[in-house]
Amino acid sequence: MKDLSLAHQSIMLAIWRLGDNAYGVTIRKQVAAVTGRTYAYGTLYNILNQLAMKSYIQKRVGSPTAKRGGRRKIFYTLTSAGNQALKTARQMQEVIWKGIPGREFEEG
Amino acid sequence: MCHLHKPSRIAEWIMARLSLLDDEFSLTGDLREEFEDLVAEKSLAYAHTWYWFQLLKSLPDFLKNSITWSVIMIKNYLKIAFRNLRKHRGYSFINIFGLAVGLATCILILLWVQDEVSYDRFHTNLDSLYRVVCYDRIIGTSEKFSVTSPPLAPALEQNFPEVLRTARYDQQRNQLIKYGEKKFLENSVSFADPTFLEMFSFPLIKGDPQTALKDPHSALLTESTAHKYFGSEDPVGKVLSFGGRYDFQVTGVLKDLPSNSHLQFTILMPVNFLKDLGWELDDWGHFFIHTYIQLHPESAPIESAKLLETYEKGTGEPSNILYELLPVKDIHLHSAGAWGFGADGDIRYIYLFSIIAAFVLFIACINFMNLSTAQSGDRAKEVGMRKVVGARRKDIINQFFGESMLLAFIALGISLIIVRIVLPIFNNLTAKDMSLNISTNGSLLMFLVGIALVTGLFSGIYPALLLSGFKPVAVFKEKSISTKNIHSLFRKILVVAQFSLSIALIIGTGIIYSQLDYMKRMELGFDQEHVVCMNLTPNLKEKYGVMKEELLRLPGVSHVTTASGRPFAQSSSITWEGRDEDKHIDLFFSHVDYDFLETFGMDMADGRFFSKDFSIDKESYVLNETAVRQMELKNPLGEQIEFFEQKGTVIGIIKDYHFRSLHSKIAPLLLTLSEKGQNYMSIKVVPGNLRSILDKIKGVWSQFERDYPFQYTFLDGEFDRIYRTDIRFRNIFVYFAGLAIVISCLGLFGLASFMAEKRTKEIGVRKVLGASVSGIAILLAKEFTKWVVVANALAWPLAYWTMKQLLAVYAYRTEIGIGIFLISGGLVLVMALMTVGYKSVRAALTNPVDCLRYE
Repeated sequence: MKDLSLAHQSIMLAIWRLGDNAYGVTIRKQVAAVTGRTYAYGTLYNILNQLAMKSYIQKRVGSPTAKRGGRRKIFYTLTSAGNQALKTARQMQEVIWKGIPGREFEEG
Repeated sequence: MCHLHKPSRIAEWIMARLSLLDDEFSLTGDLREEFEDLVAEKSLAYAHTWYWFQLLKSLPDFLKNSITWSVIMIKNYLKIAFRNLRKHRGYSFINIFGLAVGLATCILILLWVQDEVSYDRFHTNLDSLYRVVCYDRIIGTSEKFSVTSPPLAPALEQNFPEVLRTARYDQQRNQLIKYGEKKFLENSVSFADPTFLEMFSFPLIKGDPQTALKDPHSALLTESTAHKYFGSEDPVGKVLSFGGRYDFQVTGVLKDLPSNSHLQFTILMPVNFLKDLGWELDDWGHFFIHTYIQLHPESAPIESAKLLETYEKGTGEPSNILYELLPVKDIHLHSAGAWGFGADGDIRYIYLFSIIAAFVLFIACINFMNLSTAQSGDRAKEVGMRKVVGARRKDIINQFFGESMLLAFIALGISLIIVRIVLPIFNNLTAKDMSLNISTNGSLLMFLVGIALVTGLFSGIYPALLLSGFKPVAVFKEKSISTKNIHSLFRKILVVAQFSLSIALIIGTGIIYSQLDYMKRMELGFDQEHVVCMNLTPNLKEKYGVMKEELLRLPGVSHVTTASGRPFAQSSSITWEGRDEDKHIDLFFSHVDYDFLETFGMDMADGRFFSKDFSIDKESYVLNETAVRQMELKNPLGEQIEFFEQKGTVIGIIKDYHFRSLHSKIAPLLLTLSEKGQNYMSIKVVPGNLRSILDKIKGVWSQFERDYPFQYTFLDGEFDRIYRTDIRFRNIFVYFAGLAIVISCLGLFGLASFMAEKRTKEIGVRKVLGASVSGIAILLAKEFTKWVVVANALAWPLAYWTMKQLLAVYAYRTEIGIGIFLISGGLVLVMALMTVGYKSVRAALTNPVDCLRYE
């Protein structure tokens, strides 16, 4: 299995954090709030679709609203496979950073 | 919320189009939502800018996405395309190979046409260059002469202000050129006025074009000729010898002449050098030199009447010869029937072959389309499946177009390989030096890619548009989709068209063959067999009397004679001085020697031939029957006539013989006994040991001539030389006819096998019900046979009409008999029957159980 990229991780974690309210707009804002990165919608949807294809996240169609010009929201939730992938990614992260003291590294 | 703001419609539309995987438009929905928020928080303008900015930023990802998906789909399309190719191996081969052969034929003809029309196009002054040609008022324009009398050019330059320059030009064959020990027989030494280099674009590598031809004893050599004589030494300033008699100095080097020039020479010398060789340059009555003129740009060609005026002023008497200007760019292709070099092209052949090429290509393309279409019927299920899993109609259309394009381009690739292999043979056939350079031949490349695209597009139309329209449910529910009726008419037209063409080509080939055969067998009025001809060199001319005696002493040599031209060759036409003031006749003339009659086995109609027994024969003339008829002489024998200001008596009438090619009618001819201007020696030998006789003749030759090598031809071999253009066209015809038949049969074979396969079940049922093998074979073959018969009905008048036009260049024509039509039609019918029959019998022989069980 390929490792999750940081972009994938941040988006998946945003979905987890948002819980029931994870759709395009909120995900984008959440990622921006946490990482400071603003994704273009094209990029965001590309990633979302890739994740959906790998079955890390699941789509759920919401109801259309007037504010959205009559278009539906698509909500995303993490699947167990997605959960597992995130855990693996986190372990990997910790393993590779293990024993590297923050201050010395930054100075060095 | 009372009022909603909207992002720009264009931006939103683009966004929606680009986002391929946007389910339920949630992406555009998200954007709308955020847009609204931004309007509320910031401003409308900010929101708009933001929206556009989002669009721009998203572009790279959209693009990446769509490319990823198309690559995946293209892989799948390719896989399916090649699976189909492999599944129908036979059809695919016929299909692609047929198109490749058609394309190859087309490329070859195109190269040939390109070469033909490129003649002389490289001259910068092309549009203002003309050659003066003339014709006899009595014979008419069917026979034009490109030779004129030498004083014409200076006179034209003087009389007409619109003439910028003139140049006279003459060409001499087989001249011996020596440099020290090196000597070569130069096939084409030319003589021209110095202005020649300013008029025509033959660039000099060395030397000054202004002065190079000023001195009568100067010469320009082409690069390869210079290399032949001097190797790597500097040729300029070197002295060469002309025929071992006259020295001349090399003043410059010309770039080698392009092969598509009607003027071809290896050495160019000043026209004044001809005086040394004994040619008169101020004689109005002697037509032997070519006159080229360059007009001021924008001036119209000089009218014929004015040209005639100049000529008549020069000769001082009225004339029957009419003049006109032939643009140099038309010399190669538009001077059919004209005497003089450079006239071996023929625009009618260009048209004819272009039409044939177009037809062959058309047929190959239609075959290709038809077969692709036929196969695609089997793929309805695939289309249904694709649709079920989500393919849009657009995708199916793209798939089928892409597939047919792919096949068309594979065929194009194969055709290029075929052309590469065949081109040397074709060059040999057409006596050309063509090469296939796609990279430099831009128009050809464009044409080929265009053809492949069009073929691919057309052959894809039917499957792409029809199959993509099927409803998946219908495809799976019905057993098979019937495609039979839709193009059965098309198929009939196709069969008729291709067989018409094949039949017409075979008929054409047959008629050309019989015309050449007719000319070969025709009574020429003289004996062609066992006559050896050779050029008289200057040395031999001087010692001719002694040499003749030596030759006659050889066993096996029965007669020796000389003539200013071989019986075939053309002599200059000049005006005969008749009694009647108004009557002017242009005669061909030939200087001959005693024994001329015996050597060539000719007959006298009346009177006698020149004889040593009569001392007055130096002032005597012999006329041919046509001359007597045209001069309307009641009692020709003993008539006093004046010719070249030389009075003489007519002593005999020789029976008409064909002294020119059979393209022209027998013209009036006058023979004089003269040593002046004897160019050819002819020796009649006794049949038998030819080898030893030739060796002995060679022995005598080398006694008298030490410089020139011994070269000879046989008179009956002249046939091939004179009619080489005709023979060449015949050969090209044979090849194309063969190709057309191959392509037609391939197409028919494919169609027949396809039909047989479609009717497998029907055949099975028929057999079960008791039909015989032959009955079924006939059933299948019948339809095609019918259309081949119809093709005959179309091809015959077409071929008859075309061949009538082509045969018009021959003054003596063979009859176009019905036999050749029947044979050609029958031949094609047999071929078609064999092609269809093979498939039909195979279909009829299959076990009905096998074909009925395949459900």
